[in-house]
Amino acid sequence: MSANQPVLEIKNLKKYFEGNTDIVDMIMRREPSQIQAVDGVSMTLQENESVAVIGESGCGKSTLLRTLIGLHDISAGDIVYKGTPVSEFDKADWKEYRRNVQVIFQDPFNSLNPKMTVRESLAEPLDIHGIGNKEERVREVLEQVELQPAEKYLDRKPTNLSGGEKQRVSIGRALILDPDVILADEPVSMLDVSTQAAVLTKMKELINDFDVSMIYISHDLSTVSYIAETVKVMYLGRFVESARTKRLLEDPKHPYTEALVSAIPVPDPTYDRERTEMSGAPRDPIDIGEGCRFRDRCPEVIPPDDIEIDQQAYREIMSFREFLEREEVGLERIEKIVEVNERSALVDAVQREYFDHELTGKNESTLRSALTSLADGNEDLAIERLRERFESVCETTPPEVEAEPEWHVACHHHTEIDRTTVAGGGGTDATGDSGSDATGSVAHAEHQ
Amino acid sequence: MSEPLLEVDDLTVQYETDDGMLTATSNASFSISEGEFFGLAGESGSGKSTLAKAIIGGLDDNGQVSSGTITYRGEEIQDLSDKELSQRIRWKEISWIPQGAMSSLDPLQRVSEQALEIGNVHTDLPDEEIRDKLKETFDIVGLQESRIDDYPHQFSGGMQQRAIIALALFLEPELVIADEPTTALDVIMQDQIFTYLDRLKDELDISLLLITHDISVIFESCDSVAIMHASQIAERGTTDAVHANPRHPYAFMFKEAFPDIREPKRELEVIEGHPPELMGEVDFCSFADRCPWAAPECREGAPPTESVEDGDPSHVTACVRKEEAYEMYRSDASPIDDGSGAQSIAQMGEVD
Amino acid sequence: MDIAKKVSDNALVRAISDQSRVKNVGDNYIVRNLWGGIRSMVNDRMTAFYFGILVTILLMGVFGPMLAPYGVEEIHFDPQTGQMLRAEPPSLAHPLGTTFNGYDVLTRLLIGARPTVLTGIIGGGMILSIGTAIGVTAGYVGGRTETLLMRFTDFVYGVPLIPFGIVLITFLGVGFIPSIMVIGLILWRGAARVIRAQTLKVKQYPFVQVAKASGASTPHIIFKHILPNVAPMAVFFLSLGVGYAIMLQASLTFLGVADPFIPSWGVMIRNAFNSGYMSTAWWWSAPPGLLIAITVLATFMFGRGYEGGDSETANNAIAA
Ligand code: SF4
Ligand code: SF4
Repeated sequence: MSANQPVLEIKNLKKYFEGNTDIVDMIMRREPSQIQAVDGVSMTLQENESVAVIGESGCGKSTLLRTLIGLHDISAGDIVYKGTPVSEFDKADWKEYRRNVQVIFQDPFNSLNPKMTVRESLAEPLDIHGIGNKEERVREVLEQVELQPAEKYLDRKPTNLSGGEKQRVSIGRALILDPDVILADEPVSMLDVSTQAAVLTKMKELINDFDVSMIYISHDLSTVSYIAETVKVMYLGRFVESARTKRLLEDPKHPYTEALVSAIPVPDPTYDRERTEMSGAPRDPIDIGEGCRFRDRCPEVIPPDDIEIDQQAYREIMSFREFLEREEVGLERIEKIVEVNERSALVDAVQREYFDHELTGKNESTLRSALTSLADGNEDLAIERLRERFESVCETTPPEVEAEPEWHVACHHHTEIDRTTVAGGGGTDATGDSGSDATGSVAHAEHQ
Repeated sequence: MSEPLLEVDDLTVQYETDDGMLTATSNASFSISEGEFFGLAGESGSGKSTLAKAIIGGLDDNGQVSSGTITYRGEEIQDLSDKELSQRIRWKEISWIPQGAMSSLDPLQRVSEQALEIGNVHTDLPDEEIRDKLKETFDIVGLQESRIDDYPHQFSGGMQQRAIIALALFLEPELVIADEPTTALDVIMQDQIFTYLDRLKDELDISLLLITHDISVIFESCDSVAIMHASQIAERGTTDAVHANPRHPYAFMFKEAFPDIREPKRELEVIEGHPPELMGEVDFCSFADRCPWAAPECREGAPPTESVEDGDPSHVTACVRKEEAYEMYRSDASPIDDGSGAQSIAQMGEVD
Repeated sequence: MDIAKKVSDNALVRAISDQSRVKNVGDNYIVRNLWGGIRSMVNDRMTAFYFGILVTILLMGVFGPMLAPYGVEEIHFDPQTGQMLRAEPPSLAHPLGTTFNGYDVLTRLLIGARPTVLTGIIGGGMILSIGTAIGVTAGYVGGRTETLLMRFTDFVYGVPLIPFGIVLITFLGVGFIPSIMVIGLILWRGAARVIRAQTLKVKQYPFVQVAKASGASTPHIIFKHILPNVAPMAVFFLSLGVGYAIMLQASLTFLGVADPFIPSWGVMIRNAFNSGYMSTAWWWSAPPGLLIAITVLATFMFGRGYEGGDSETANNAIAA
């Protein structure tokens, strides 16, 4: 292995699942819907490096991890392990890979087989790979994860271990084969704080001592700085921002990262944190098609530069159109409440329900005419009317650009074309602080 | 400060087990005034959930209030029968958001049906009035009144959380007890929920007893806090006072165990061991086995709860070394090794 | 019964500890779990009690025929009058009275223990083994195999027991063993469904995923991780199956699917019923009824104990 060859290289990795198809779909010979859980993810993991992948539940990070350990097939793209792509693996390569890529799961309570003693759990990987000298190795590892004296733990079953102890055994089991890569899925999130720090520090120490690289997956940005130098923020199957941990925490660039950072509670009653404005949860990644995946929640979604509109009001219009397109506007329900069978009353009611912010001038009249079409039962026309005036650049997929050295962002606020837009359009200022480098950098488009 | 709404005085709760009486909370005292947000913090095994269950009479069958009183608006409620509690106290006066509830509404029932069920148990109100109350509450938490007849799946995730809050509030209780409302939720969801809880405070003048292991959210949202360790309340006071001037070793170590996004490299405190299970009377400091400053007198009697005397009259702590422990901790001084069995020297956090 | 229980317990406990001293066998993960499970159960007083009952019934099955005071077909007559003792109430010579045909009830009870126990073991065993094999395979392997196996299970659900029994005996002939096979071949369906569901659950546990990710083979995972963790459920079905089998075998006899001349307890009740003496000759119908009830209850409670015990419990017969 050459000096600079990465341990693991993930190249435009995709993992799609087929959605449920019912009998109607089958008769109509419809294509099954695609759940785009991981949708074009690239990264490299150098020797001794630890990288965190952060995102809410449902963002695809766990699927990514499962694909990396070979529990899911790859839909497209590739994983390259020390120069050999997984797609070209033979049986022996797989064995080698499985030996060298180990995993630690989140839930300490179900990570160990309740019927097996600590000794058996630790020895299992050695058994599988036919490695002798088990007893010695098991004791050594117990010492390394600070479960001492070994005798005290060897014959215990998981029920007689505390959460922290269990997680240490899991860490030990991941280390026992002396792997190159450890994939950790929120290994401390279910532990009490008093042990959380200890387990984190231990993990950090071990990955240094053992020359292991790590991909650390979590929804919690507050502890990543203790374990990973680099952070990648994932949203609906794609990386939206990646940077050095410390800098990312201080100055998140992507609106989603901003929301994640700003939602973390600060343990200080005198500090007045602004709560996140963002609402809802990630949508299901089913047939989501083009565009920025965050646009249905993004507080900074970009209005066209030729219209003058309040950001929050624009957010509402975009969300409403999103609802329309997904056929989620409860027109019938609203009709029922309105009682009076009059079109304008219905239009008012819809507007009251979905819009809190005032609109003026042409914006207002466009919305009204769209709502009127909707009340007439012509949803497509309503969508079309709204799109015509309010279409956002965010409906095209933002390329990933290097906003600063070692700092990639995939958001139109940071692409070259949009900087002018933003300057003219107003309503957002997120690019203001990213420095002049952003303009100069060339998009290295991950998705065409 | 106004009259206390709820007063817990010297409360001991025990569970009958095969090995004897397991003490879950021992001589705990605190009070919540009207409109106050009170946080109860501690690790798992600290007894905080037991305390909350005792307040609404929801202890498991083998649990009992062994001594002490729980006073709600001047009336002792610890001995009320289940029926009386249901008819007079629960939901109308004190409502309860149980652990894990934030992620689940009964999917087969309309929200209004769930409300009627609760309303019929706890009030004599006619259905129409219950529905009206639910509508009003929906409005307060920012949901359309017309949606009370929706099924849970018709709401988005965030709306469901609000509907759950509305269900806890629609009978206009004075006090809401929330047991780990956001544990296991993503930060963004957590933040949204607290946005609504904060708003309630402004709009309804409601009191909240927030039980959580996460002291960050308590510091952010609560007026006062009590930190519990293995059945005892270690320290209690306004969040400002406890944050600025913690006295009990568990209180400050616990606090320092939490990461703070503003200081990503600060070393996190590690508290060795875990809270012990205590049988019978707890006549010693329950933190003694884990405390780096433990002295022989810590085991000779439960440390008295005394005022910290820092200008906050409610700020009290139960530590025999309350005068010096925090200073020693801050000045990085090694704990005095007096052979009393302090297990190990915890990593010193750089407090800056 | 108490003494019998104590004796059997001690013998068992000794047997167990001997077993585990034999190095290679006792140290085997599966064997250790099985014995460990039983040992921890014997420590639980209630479970030990039911266990004692089961052992007693088992012993009855083995030694019953030897202990029987009379022959099974021996017709008894009153020595004075020479009349057949038709449904006579208990007396010194016949502690449990006689049947309508003048047989000794106690004799029949002791001799009937063996077929009853056999029914329980074979029937329960078939339900358990077929159910577990299909359930675990379907649950773990998934995909087409699962669909196929579960469709088959659904199909078996649709098969009515009695007509199937009648069809089967036209091939196998009326008999004791065929009647048990009818039961075993049909009733595994419930076990299969539940065990599949259980397998699906266990399969999702991180420890299985970890094993898979570190390259463990399918048999390794099934034997080391899946079976031990579905075992409590499987044992529960074994106990249910034993009870079902005994009762169903009796009703099959009622219908003439099973051989009425093998006097299992179920058959005894049937005969009592047919004779019309069911209620008057309580000494005839009640003892077998009671014994069936006790057997079923004991197996059931024993299974519960096995299931309910902590992590120490349960590996199981199939695995070993
Ligand atoms: S591309 Fe648009 S929608 Fe996406 S994050 Fe950037 S501003 Fe928001
Ligand atoms: S110093 Fe003593 S009383 Fe204070 S916390 Fe430590 S052990 Fe308890």
